[in-house]
Formats: sequence, C-alpha cells, structure tokens
Amino acid sequence: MILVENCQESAAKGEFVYMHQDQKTYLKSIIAYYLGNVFSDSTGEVAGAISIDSDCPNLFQQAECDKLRRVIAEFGQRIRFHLALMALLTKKEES
Amino acid sequence: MDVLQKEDGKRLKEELARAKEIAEHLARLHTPFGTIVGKKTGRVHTAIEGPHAYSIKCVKEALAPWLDLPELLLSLATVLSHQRKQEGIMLNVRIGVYLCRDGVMCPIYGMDLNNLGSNPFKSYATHQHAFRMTQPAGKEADAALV
Repeated sequence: MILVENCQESAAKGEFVYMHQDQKTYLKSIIAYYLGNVFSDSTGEVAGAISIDSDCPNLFQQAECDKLRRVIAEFGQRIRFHLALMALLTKKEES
Repeated sequence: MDVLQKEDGKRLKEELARAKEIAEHLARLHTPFGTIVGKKTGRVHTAIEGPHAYSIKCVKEALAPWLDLPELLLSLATVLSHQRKQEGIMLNVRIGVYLCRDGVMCPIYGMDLNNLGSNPFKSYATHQHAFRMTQPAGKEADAALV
C-alpha cells in the first residue's frame, strides 16, 4: 500500500508529482492499494488496485497505516469477489 | 496503595475507551457488508419466486455484482471519511478500481462521494502514460507488495 499524507508537502519535497495544476485543488491525500491478481471480464487474471484520494490534506496518515490497511483489506476481499463474479457472469453471457 | 489503585483505574479506563473505539469501528465497518448481503438476499428470494427461476438469466439478475460493487466503494469512502466528518470537516473522497490491461492500469469503476454521478477519472483520459505499469505485475508484484 502506498500512502501520501499530504500531497502538496510531498510535491514540494519532490516525492510526489501532480499530472496537472488542477489536481492541486482536489488531490491532497492519497492511498493506492494493490489488490493482487483479480479476474477481469475479458482477459482472465490481471493486476488490480484501488485508489482513494481526498481534498482534505492529512486525511490518510502514516500513523494510522495499519488500521487503514486492515479496513481496505476487508473491502478489498469483497471487491475481488465481486469482480470475479462479474467475470463469471460476463463470460456466461458471451458463450 | 492509593497511587497503584489510581493507576489501575486510569489504565482500565483507557483500555475501556480503546475497546469501545474498536467495537464502534468494527460495527461501522461491518454494517455496510450486512446491508449489501441483505440486498443480494432480497434479489435472490425475488428470483426464486419469479417465473424464470433456475435460469441463467435469473441467476445473473439475482447475483448482480455490478449493483454491489459501487455500494462497496461508496461504503469504503464513507468509512474512511467518517471520523473527519464527525469533527465537522467538509471533505470529498474519490475512490476507484483499476485493472491492468495491456500494461496500463485502467479505471473500471469510480466513485466521487460529493458527486455520485460524475466521472472521477478525468486525468486518466489525458495522461494515460502515467498509468503504465513499470514493475512486473502478477506473482512477482504480489510477493513484493505483501
């Protein structure tokens, strides 16, 4: 899991890069969570990830990293399951 | 003796407060899961009682993961922003699921807590190069990121 507490501060230190200026107004704290290999509707298993960001700086904090990881992992398992279910049902429709 | 009792009392109070916080947190976490399962159960019951029960079409309509996935994302965004909103802070949370297709992490579902109908992936459309995987995906990445 990658966690950036304060994107603007990290950008000032050269540790974070905005893709365009507008992002500075709404991208202030961000988490990227790797789901592992998940089922896709068309190509079998592929890498999956969840991205969560906020316009509130320091919404996600390193001090709470373990707690956040546990919460997102709980949801991640269910998201993986629903992606697999979608892949299964989509394949059934195509056959 | 009094000092020891006071310290014990203080420690117990702290432990109680921590246990209460964890219990509330778990309840907040599991409530949306229960709601989603409840809705799915309702759809399954409706399908069983319907005229096309036991058909593939019927099963698809009942399981309908495309209805549950947005709810899961919305719930996760709500759980993560709950504490700050309780403190009266106005904020937005955006959340998305990405899948790797042809070496690029493509957004397949997205949610903007303050604007549920909008597409939160505008940057992807104009900056696809930034979403290209530079590390190996699959088992090697799994091992590296545990």
